[in-house]
Amino acid sequence: MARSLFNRMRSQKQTNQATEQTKFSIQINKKLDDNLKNMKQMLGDPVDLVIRELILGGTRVAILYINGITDGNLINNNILKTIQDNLKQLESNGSKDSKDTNEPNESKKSKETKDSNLLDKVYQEIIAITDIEKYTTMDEVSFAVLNGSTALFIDGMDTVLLMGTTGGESRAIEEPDSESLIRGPRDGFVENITTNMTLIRRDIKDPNLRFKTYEVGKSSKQKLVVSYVEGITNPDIVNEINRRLKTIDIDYLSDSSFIEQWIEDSFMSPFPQIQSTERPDSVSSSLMQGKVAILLDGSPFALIAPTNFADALQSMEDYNQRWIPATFLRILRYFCAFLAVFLPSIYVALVSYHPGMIPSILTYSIAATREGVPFPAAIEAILMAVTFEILHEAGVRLPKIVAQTIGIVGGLVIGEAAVSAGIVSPIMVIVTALTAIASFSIPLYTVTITFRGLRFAFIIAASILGLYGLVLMYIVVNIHLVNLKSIGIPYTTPFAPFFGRDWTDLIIRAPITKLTKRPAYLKTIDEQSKNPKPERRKG
Amino acid sequence: MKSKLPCLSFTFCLLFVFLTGCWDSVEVEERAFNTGIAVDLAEEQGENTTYEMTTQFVVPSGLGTAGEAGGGKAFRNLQQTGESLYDINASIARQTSEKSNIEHLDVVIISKDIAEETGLFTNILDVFVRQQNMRRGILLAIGDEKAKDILNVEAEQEKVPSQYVTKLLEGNENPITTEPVRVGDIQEYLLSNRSFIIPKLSVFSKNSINYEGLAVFRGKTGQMVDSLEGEDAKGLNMIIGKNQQGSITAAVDDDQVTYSISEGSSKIKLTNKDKNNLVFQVDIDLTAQIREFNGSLDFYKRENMDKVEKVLKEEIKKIAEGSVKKVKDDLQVDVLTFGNYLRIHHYALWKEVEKDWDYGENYFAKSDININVNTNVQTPGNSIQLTEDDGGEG
Amino acid sequence: MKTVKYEDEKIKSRDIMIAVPSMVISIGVLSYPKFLAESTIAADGWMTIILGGIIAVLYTWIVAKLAVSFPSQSFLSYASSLVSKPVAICLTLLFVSYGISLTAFEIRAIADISHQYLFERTPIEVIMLTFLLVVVYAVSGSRAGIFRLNTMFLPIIFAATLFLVFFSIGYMEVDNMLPMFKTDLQGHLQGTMDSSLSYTGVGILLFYISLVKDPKKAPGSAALGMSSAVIIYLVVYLTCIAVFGDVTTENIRFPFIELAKSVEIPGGFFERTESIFFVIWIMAIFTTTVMAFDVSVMALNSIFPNITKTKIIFFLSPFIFFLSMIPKDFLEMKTIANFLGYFGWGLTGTTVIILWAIYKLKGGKQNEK
Repeated sequence: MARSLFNRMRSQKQTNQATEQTKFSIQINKKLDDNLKNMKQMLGDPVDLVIRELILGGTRVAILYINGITDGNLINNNILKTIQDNLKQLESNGSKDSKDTNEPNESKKSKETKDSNLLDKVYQEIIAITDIEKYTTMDEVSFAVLNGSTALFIDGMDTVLLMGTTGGESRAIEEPDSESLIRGPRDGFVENITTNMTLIRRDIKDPNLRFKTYEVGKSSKQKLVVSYVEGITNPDIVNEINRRLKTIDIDYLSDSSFIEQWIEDSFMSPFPQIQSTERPDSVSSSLMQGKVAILLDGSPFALIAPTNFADALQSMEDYNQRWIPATFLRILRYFCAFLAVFLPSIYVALVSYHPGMIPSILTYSIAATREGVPFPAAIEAILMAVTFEILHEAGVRLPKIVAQTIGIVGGLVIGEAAVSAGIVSPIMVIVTALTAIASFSIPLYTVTITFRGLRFAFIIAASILGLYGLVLMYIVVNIHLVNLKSIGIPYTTPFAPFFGRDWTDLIIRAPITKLTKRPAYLKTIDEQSKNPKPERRKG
Repeated sequence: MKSKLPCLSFTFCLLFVFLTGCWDSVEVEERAFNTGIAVDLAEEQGENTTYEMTTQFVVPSGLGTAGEAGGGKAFRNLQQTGESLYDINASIARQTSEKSNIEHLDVVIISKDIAEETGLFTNILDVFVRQQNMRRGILLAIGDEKAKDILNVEAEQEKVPSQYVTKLLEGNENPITTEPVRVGDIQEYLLSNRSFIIPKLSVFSKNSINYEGLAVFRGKTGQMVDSLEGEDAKGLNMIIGKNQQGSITAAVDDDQVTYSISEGSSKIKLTNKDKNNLVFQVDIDLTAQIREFNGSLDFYKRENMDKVEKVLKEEIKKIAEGSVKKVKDDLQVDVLTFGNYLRIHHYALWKEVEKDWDYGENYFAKSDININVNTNVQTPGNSIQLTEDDGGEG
Repeated sequence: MKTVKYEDEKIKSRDIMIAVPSMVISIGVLSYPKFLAESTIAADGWMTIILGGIIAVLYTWIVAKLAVSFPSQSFLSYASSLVSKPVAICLTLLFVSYGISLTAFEIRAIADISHQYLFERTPIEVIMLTFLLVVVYAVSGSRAGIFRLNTMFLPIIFAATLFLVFFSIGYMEVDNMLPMFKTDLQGHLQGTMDSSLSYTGVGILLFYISLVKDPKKAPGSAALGMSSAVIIYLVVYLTCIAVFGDVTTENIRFPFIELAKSVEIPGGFFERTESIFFVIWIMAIFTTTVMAFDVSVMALNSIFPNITKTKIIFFLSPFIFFLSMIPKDFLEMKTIANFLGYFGWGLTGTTVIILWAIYKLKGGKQNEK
């Protein structure tokens, strides 16, 4: 509880900084009623707007906040309750003050002094919230209120106290579904950016850790944080990312993928040029490698840039296992990637074009199982792959319980009925199933989708020109990859351009004690990482 | 990026045009896989009918899968006669509903009649090394009588006769067999005029094929001169130093003893370099075990073991000399690899005699071959004797 | 100090090291064991390969050294500073014509051999066109991309070749390698000639070295790259001889392909290694073709700096396509292959000699470093 409180306070401060640029326009009126009326007007008098009026030391004050995005407990306990506790004292003070000043020559000026005294008193003594500031323009106040702050208007004052009470319902920190590990921390990002920042800060207690804040979304005014470690990350990368982020011009970003799509190098590419993750440990280790992370309020997915092709086949799990099993898993993943992309097309090329390249016995058994199958291998492969994609898509969008049904139906349809009906051959079922399993063994879902798409391209190439077409398609994909960049870094590093040092953590994952350098391809300022890559510094 | 866009779209458009192509796409089940070929002389020799070719196609559904046994015959033999094998293949293709595919061709069996005819064997072989779909690993065998009969033998365990033949050729380690002979090897022999041997098969019964022996070919003419069987083939392997493992039966004091040779090697040496009277020394080294013994000897005694070894030595020497006599004196064809030895170790001498090695002047037939055998009988087997030893002691 | 900028048109000397074998290993590697076996006895060709290799390595080093003397200058600029501009343009155009004809030749060769081993009925035009399109796609990308492509493919080519060699060990016979040292001098000379001719394509260095960031290391890297190509040639040759024997090798058109077809890995799914072989072979020829094309484009671009690269590519591609349709049969292809071999060596050799001579005469003053 105390922690989340701390978060909120800090986040509030940052929001205020971010909103500084929009400081202009309407000044706050001295009359409380006018102010309240203006506020109502500005916000369109919504039903969730709560205005509570009080009399404090003889002065009318009003507390204004929006229900639901504020922390009710905080408002009740730390604002209302403290005010009411102090009411007596304030009133006596007020009356004493008034007694002292209750001279015939009570002027308007002294009344103002009294009010400002009241404001200072409330500001300094009464409100039990650290994040409290004074504002003077209506715009600022309305933004802050929309962000979950509570405004305290005092009659006769053109200054408003804004108290950071952002809160309300939010998801608890859970283990991310999209990337689960067997061994490793169980926390995952949530929709709340302050929580997310905290999660990173708890991993990296480095004074050089930077959170650069932007506000994106014309209407949504979402907070966007660019995080990097100064002194490690190459400033060129940070500058380039900042430059691209400034070009974002959009009403509302439902997820960080909007940012990804906005700032990526080539939107024509099927490959994701920015990595996204739900895991704080993944972000932290990437930051320590010298990468940049981008967080967006409202999205549990952090973006990591730059990234390369090899990152797609690496998982945090690799660092949490001992190096031999980790290396084995890496190799397995490369093999799986190969299967996921190539297996059906190799099948098509060999079966339709070059049966001479299959071992004799296997040829005969494939021929026997294909006996009576009405489609050529290419159509069969595409048919099965599409069926699989349909099943997968249907399964993803459905509630988990129904999704199971889809799985059973799908399994039956593909595995049993289609074969016994003689529409597809059992070998094709094996190929499809193996491909599907292989494609899901790739840790990054975005890459999985890419590979599944590429698979079709390869099947088509193989069905036109057999093995020759397959190799040409492979070359085409390679040409695309070598010309692709992620924030200016070639996508195929460290394969090409070649960085020998990075090969210790590429296909093999060298022992942690040997991973003493940050990736060379990132051209970090500080190359030496005393601690290896998956840094969880324990302070 | 911008410049790439038209290029990319152009490529994709063309790819879609290619989609209508698929010129060479033939589904695997629409191909007829040719696993074995047998070539015979045509029974009725006409102007355009020299050969009769039998092609064996696999019927995949007949093979069945691991789960269920296939029903029906797993092969199909088609025959045609004609002048050139490629031509015959084309006419056989007219009989099949599928597209003939020779990439899985395992074995070619050529009948003895063809092999003995001048020039026919080399003519036949040409198609197998020239055609790009052919592999150099296709096995060759000679059929004792009609080659096509061999492709009709249905063994119980192998549903396709040519696979049976292939496994027979590949898996046999026996002193009268040789390593599998491939088409590529024969090309090598023919090009360098080296004489060679090819396994000879015959139909033994309705469901078995017998590895009968080795057909001997003269490298210069590519013509089969004779075949080595039994002891002669054994002797050949002893001298070459390959495939020596096997059994030898001899008699020790009238008691029959059977040895199995577990290891062996041979070494050729040239002792006289006069090209008109070359003398070769062959050292054969063998390690053997006793497998069967009808007498009773106490093998724990050194002299008994020596006796057994000596018998083996003499027996092997006899066998080797027998085959030398047959090969060198009767057939005058160097399949004993002496020529190769000369090429490797006495290149200058070889250059002199190469042209008339085992033909013409035939320096090979003029040479002398001395055989020297060393044997080592390692163990007598698990038991010393089966019956009471009565006579051997003393 | 350090920047993230991977200057796109700048490469490292390591890229040169990779580009040289990528360029050299192409169609020649398929057939040269045949020609070598013709002129030498048993496995004696290893000496001629090494001898030819040493010549080629030296030659590469000299070419690179010349180009390095003028860091960051295009061939046209330093050539025109040495031998007047018109001569330099002529030389450049000769290189362009060499590059274009090599591209056309490689495209035709890949189509021919694919037709021989992979296809029967697919029209040769389709095979050529698809290949050409992929080449065009690669060339129209960034130049650094081409070098990265080499870096991606070369290890695959090397690994797969060694894999193939490794699995053919079971098929090797020592007898085929013996006797040694029996080839006469003439055979050796002929063999050396043949083997050095197959190390063609060094001319690209004259153009590419101007892109190198650290030119001082470039000659060494280029020579090292060439030596790796020599080693691959040697390994392939020895394997072919050990498996087939010299007499058979002599009588096989493409011994390396036959080798791949003969070798079978027992029991495995990849029992037939030829599929792996065809993959590497297409890649190897692809890298050569791309670089030959790219150098032509680069050279033309230096003469006509106002025309964009894309326009040059789109202008050249149909021309290359029709050029590659000209040869009628394999004999003509063989003639062209020989011609290109001599042309490549002759052109690069003459250019380098002339430029060196003039450079030395002028006292190396153009050297800006």
